[in-house]
Amino acid sequence: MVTTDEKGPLTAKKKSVIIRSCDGDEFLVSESAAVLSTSLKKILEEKEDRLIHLSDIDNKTLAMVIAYLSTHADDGLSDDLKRSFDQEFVSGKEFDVLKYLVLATDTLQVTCLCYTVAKKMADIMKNKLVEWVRREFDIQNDYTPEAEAEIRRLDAWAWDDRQLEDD
Amino acid sequence: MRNWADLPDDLLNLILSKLFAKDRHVFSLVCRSWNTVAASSAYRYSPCLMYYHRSKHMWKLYQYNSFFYMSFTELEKAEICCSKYGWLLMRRYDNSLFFFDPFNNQRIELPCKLRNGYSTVSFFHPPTSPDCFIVGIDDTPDSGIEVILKICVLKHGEKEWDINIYRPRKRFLVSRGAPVLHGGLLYFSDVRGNVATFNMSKCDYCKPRLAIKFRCLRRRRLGNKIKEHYLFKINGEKAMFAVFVLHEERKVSMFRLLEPEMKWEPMQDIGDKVLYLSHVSSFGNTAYLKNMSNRIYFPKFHGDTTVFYSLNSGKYHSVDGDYSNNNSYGLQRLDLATWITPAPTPEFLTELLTWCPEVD
Repeated sequence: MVTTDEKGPLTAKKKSVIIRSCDGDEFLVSESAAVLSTSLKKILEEKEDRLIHLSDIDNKTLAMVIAYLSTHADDGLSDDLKRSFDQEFVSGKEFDVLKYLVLATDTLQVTCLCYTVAKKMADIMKNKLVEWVRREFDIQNDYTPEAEAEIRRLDAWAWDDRQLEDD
Repeated sequence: MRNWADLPDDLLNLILSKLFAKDRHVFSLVCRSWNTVAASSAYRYSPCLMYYHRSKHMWKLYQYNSFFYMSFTELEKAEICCSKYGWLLMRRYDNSLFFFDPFNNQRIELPCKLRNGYSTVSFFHPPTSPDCFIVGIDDTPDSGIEVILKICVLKHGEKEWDINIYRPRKRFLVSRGAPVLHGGLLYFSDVRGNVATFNMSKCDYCKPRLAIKFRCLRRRRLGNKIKEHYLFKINGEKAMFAVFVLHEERKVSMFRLLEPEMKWEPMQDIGDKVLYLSHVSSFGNTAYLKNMSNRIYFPKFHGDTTVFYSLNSGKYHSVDGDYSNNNSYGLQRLDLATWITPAPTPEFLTELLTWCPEVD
């Protein structure tokens, strides 16, 4: 169940933690990677337990976050390589995937990844209609028609009614 | 399952910081909790640096370190003279002038032209206000060392310039820093940091309208070294201020004007204020975010990121990344950029959008 890619006596000395997703998959992560997440770092400082259960992150999302943490914890990689990894990391990902990724990074408090993902999400949200955002996020419109009309009227730049593409 | 309407505020703010104009408007419209975040966001009414990006034929707007491209057909073949209250004063290449509010797409045409060559053209009230007037200042070097100083004023509701011509007793070459209106007087500086005041009211016959004070800088040799001039007022402060950037290492010097002696008194810091400086509009505010206090934002770039000068460290720093330097060599400076603050859509009365009813 637990897989490891650690080999040799030197790396074997490195401490590892096991992180379990909400759907039960477990991931072995080096401690140096785990502590890049402020929340994981806190948990590790508080308890001896090497098994951390995350009740609101699914395995697909967790796998992505761990890939990110491991890359950023790798001292052998230059900052430039890490930066281009970050670019690659978010490019081509669906909005649906990014949604859960940004939540996970927020829960785990991985600031730099959260920033990268939020930026990518904003890029996708550009030129979209409000109906698109509500649908993609599954948000109910809780405005009264009067309140919505008032905001449509008041907010700056509201005049700009270029044709928005809605996909 | 997560309720997306209740995303953490920090996260929503992060997304919001990358959205602008129409996209920010859409964000506010999604639901009430998102609107609450947008309405209290630091991005909402914080100044943007706006300039024309020639190769892209678009206007580029910087807010913090996010940039956005917009196109305004109204602003084609025109350059920015001045900007205040969310309005731009523009001069077309044919020398006609107009006001434009890019946030609300409103335009006010001015009835007369102003030829190119004026050092500064500025205004001090919203152009919809009857108090509004436009002032152009021009200096023509005459034979020898003399300079002819021309100050022309166009008042709201008038269709012709009131032109005033002076011959200062000493050479007074007007700096490009926009003048400041302070207590009914127009303050502007020459390239050596000397200050002239022009009384906007014609009624006061006992005093000359134009008064020039020389030797305003205590260290007189400093005057020869100034490269960039910025005059401004700070919200909540009574005095007039100046920032002079020197040739030598682009050193930044800040001053407060002592009146009535008209001397520049050096200042080291501005506490919880932040300055936004450019040739066409300069102002100081209380910093909305604490970490932005005691900083000067210039229209300067390091690569793709804007640069500010920290009065705490005495250095230029990039907003994004880890650039810092005690001089600004190698930084790109934009002369025709302006700071502009997004303003909410006011209730416009159409008649306010007319400068001079007689002409239209």
